Amino acid sequence: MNTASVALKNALLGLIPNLRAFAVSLCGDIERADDLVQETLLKAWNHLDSFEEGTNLRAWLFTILRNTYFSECRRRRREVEDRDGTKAADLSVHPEQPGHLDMQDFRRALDVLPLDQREALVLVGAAGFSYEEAAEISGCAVGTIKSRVNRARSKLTDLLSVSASHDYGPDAATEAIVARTVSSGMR
Amino acid sequence: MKGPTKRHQGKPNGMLDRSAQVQIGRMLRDVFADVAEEPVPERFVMLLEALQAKEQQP
Repeated sequence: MNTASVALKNALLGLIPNLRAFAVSLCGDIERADDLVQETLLKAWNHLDSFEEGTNLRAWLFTILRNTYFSECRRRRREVEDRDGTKAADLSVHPEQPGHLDMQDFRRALDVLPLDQREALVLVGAAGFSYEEAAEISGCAVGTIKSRVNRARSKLTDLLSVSASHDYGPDAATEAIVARTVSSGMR
Repeated sequence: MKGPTKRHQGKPNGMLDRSAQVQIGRMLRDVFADVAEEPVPERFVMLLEALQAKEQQP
């Protein structure tokens, strides 16, 4: 029994849920995400010699997955065209109920973000990586990650019209009506 | 992240950035956890078992 391969198998198994979540956030599609995860697992298994013992296996797998996805995108000539945010400029998200954000609204808004911003935001804000780790995974400078995360947050705030006042403001009902009137007038 | 200039134009809802960021952070983690909490699909369990079995062959 090869104990090294048993240990690796178990480590990979434990990280699959995280990899799937990251993959879905990149490509927005669970089936494609699972194909990405599969490719990532195969590459990791076959290139284990390039993994430095004692470093972060999770970060290494995330790196493989995002590199796989980005080169696939380049091949497909998709998403890349959107990196300047042209799609984002045309779209906005109107929450079903102003002031109340459900997960659907939020997913739509995430998908509107340019890929590099979405990636940075998910790595730092959801997957729990530090800015330094995220920079390593994305192959860019720490400052670049910080600025992507900031731009992503700011764009999400705009897209979602996240209104803090609804949480505890006395005027929530009035604002909701105003918001509803305005957004239905825009349709 | 300051000043009700350009970005907020035409928005009827007032916006408090800090609370908005808290809300965005929470949604972000929820969306991620939504997938991350699913059980590992059988195909991956089988894939890893196959890889491991192959390794054990001479």
